[in-house]
Amino acid sequence: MLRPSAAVALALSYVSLSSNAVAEQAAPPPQPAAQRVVVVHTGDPGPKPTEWTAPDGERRTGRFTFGSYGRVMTAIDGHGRRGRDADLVAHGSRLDEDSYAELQLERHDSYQLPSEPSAATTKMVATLAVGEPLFHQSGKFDATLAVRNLYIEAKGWLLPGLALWAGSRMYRGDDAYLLNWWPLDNLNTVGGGVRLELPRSRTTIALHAGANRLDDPFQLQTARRALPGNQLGATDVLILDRPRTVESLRVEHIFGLGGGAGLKLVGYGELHQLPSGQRETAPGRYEDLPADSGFVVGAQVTGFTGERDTHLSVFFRHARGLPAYGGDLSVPYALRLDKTTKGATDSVAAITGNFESGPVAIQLAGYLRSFRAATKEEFDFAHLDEGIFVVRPHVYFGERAGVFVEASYQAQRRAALAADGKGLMGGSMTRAALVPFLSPAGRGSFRRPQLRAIFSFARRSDGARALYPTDDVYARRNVEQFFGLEAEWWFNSSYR
Amino acid sequence: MKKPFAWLALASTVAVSCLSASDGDKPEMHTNVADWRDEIIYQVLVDRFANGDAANDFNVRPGVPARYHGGDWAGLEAKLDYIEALGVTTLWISPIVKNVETDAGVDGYHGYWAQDLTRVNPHFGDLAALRRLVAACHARGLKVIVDIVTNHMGQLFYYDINGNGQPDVQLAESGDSVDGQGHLKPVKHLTEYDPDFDPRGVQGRTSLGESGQASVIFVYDPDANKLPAMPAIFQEARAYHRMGRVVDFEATVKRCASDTRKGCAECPGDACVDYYEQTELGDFPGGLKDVATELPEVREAMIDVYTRWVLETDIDGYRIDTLKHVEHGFWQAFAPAIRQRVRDAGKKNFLLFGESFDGNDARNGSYTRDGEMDSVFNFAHKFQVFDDIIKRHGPTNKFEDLWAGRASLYGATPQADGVGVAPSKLPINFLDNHDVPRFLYLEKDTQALTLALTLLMTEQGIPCVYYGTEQGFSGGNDPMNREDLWSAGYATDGALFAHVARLTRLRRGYPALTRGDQKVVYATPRTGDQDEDAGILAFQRALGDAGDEAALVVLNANAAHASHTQHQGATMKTDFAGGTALVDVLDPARPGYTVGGDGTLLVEVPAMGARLLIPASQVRDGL
Repeated sequence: MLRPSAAVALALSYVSLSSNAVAEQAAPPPQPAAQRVVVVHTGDPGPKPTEWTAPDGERRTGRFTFGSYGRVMTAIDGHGRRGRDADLVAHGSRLDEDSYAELQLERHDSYQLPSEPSAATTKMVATLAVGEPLFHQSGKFDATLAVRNLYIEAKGWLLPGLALWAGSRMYRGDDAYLLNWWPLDNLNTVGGGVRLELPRSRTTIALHAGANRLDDPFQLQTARRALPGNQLGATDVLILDRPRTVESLRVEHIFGLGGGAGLKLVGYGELHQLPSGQRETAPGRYEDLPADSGFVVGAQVTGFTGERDTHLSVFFRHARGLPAYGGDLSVPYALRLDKTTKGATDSVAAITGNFESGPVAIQLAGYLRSFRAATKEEFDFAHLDEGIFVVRPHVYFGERAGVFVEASYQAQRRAALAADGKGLMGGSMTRAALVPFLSPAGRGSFRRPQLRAIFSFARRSDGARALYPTDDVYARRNVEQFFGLEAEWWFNSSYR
Repeated sequence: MKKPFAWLALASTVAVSCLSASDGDKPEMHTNVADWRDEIIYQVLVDRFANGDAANDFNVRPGVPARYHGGDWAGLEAKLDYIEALGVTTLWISPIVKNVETDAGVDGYHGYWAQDLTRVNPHFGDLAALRRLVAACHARGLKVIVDIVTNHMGQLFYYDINGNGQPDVQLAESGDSVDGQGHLKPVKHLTEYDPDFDPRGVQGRTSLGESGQASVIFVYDPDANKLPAMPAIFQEARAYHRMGRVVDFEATVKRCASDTRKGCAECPGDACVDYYEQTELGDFPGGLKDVATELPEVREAMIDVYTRWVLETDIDGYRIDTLKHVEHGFWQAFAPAIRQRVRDAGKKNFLLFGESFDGNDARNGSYTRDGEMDSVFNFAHKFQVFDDIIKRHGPTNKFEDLWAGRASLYGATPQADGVGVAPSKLPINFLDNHDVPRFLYLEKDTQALTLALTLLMTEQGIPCVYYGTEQGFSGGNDPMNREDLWSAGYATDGALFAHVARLTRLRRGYPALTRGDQKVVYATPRTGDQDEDAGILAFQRALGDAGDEAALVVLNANAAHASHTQHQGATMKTDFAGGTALVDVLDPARPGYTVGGDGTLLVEVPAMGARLLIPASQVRDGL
């Protein structure tokens, strides 16, 4: 997913103890648990909360809020075709990403008895996401929709600083904005969790457990069967049904360095389990799928100055087994003969940062990744090493307009012999983009909304062209041009 | 309502609506038929007769001839008044077992595509509905015959000829020139569902040539009810001959009489006979897979399931499909076993008759010996009499020849434990059925139909009327000959309905027409406009088990003029005593005739007319 949590955090007037350095910098100091802050509104003034008093004297306030993240892009390439994401690597620059938007409704309530010093709160979040194709592109009166959040979080009910949640939730930490990527943690499950903000400290512990069952033959298979009792007709029955369960633990601590600066340390881990199952390969024939599992360990170090979103984050993540394939929404491939992911590994080192000073800002991001699928074959297209580095310097002309240049280099190598038999498949791409923009909300790398015109030029190597199938224009062209217009916004959109 | 009364009301509702299995109880076995010669069969295609239960209207496509239309057993039960008014006495209902739902866009509404021989076809109702129908018929004195198939199952598997694990339909020899001079190879349609017959078994084939016997792959498609067949033996490939589709029903090969698996050279001294190899071993066209009925396990399974249906429903007989596609040995095992088992359960006179769809009476009759069928459909009679004589006004001596041959071609003694009547005296006569165009197809000659019905109801054997005949239905070949009866509104005031009802009353009223022997007393080869006896056919029904009862039937199949029973001064001679007074009970005026002293009788019959002469002393009023 595609939401810059750091920037969103800035849009909020209240942020809990966040793992995001920038957000931490912009947020007020953590509130003592005893004072239990009632969260009933966000950065936008919005409607006033409704207030009433229950018969037992409990004071209640409540408010609806609407938030959104979105980007809409239209672009053509140098040949008049529709502009298209040109990245080679799994997590490339977000500059040429497709359109996407989230519409988020939240209901916040606080409950405070006269005998209690502070209120307890609930938050109900529903997020509807819209992807391409948009109606004005396709002409089809239809939409690609997903409900990406549907949960309730209750805070301050059992212990001060303790939040409980349950439901369907995007559950994630800090992103690398330029790459539209969450290098450390990005889970999508139906489940629940607890988050404890330790009193009078800058330590947060979050524990979560959830499950998903992807609509894929690796986890799910239905088959037609006759109705019972000699009824007419047939129905679907579940043959393979093995949800993946995921547990995660995130511990973070912020060291204050004075003057709003700080250092955030994050330790992170996931456990993934998949039960055994049986899949029908032909009527009356079944194959066993053994249980599978995996884990993730990771860490993050973020330093921030407390001034204008300036920060630098470094991430390390190592996954083995199930989660090595890219997270909980990925379907494993190139398995072992026993149809498990045992031995698969995914190791990532990533960096992201932002520096702002006067009319200048520089964003950067990059990563190195090494993925090895579970198959024991030494040469398999699935094995890969890749990396990217992106830098985006900005110059503001006045407070509300500017231009940035984005330069990037990315490369990928696959463990498959190249067509000429000399070396492995793989290639690289270098890109430079010039992007004038209007920022009505003012200066800042994370101020939105923003309107942009994008002029991008990329050069891919011959080896990169070979990674595309025949007749894909990217297999035929070394030079790519991209001319686009884009709007990007966010407000009142946070999943913390 | 106060609470106590509310509870009482609820309790009463629950008590009344409580599920009960009593309606579905297994019936006691009864012998419901004294003499099958007294019966008049009415053939019903259940899906097309009446819809009495909307709950089983699954995937019905009214108006599409080859799809389900919604008729069911409850509907049939609701229309028994109509059937009774027609005067028929026995219902022959289409197959009851569960079928392949649909294949190539055609539904198994007819019932001949069995998938599960142990369960009823839910399109027609459940077992309780079938039992209710049978019980309701018996309560009215009607009997029930169920259609069964042992020759084949539905389209349950395909031949994986090219070994690719999917059913392929393709063209071969695609019209290329053979010699560059305009001579083209014929385009051939190949289908792995229904490949042509190969006596070695359907052969696998690759681009390099044949690759041995093709494996068969059973289809698993719950929506089409292509599911594992039942009984379980039919889930095994060996339960089928797997030789492909019959392409020539008349093709024969020379085989040892004692073992048709052997060529004549293998059995010196044994008789060498023509063996209908394709017919017996090939799949029935349409991909209906031919069952290996010679296997003891298959025979036992067939005997078990078809005994069970009798015991479950108290039905009175089986009409058996595709008789000539199954070897005699099977029938010689199956029929006696069924008779024995239902007799042991308390039911006698259980009728077994079959369909040998053939104009060759010797072949048809062969299934009525050695314990096989009690009777067969009189196909030769349908073709040679109803079609050639009545519809096409051909010479009536064909009728005489046909009946003369029957005595030797059909079983002359009743089957042991059978219905007590020799097959030769018990042909199942019919004008048309669900497999042939209706009598009125092409030419709407209701006069001919009227005459044909008169002959059907007066000649020896068991008359069988196809539903809709009484409404003047005129559909062509399958499925156009399977009209919805409800389209005629179940009218009982039409001329044809009245004619059939009158004939059934007469047949039931005069035992000579049911139990009397038959003797042709006048037939003619002449059909010309100037021939005084053109089209005349006369036969007596007397003796046998008719006691003193007698009848004389005189028909004129000539459409051009009245004819009489005399040619060049030679007058028809009957077995009636001189001076016997006869009355034409077909004519409302009841004209009388007196037999001459030498037994001669001159009767004039209008074109396409008939007279049914009954001795005056035996005439019964009210018929």
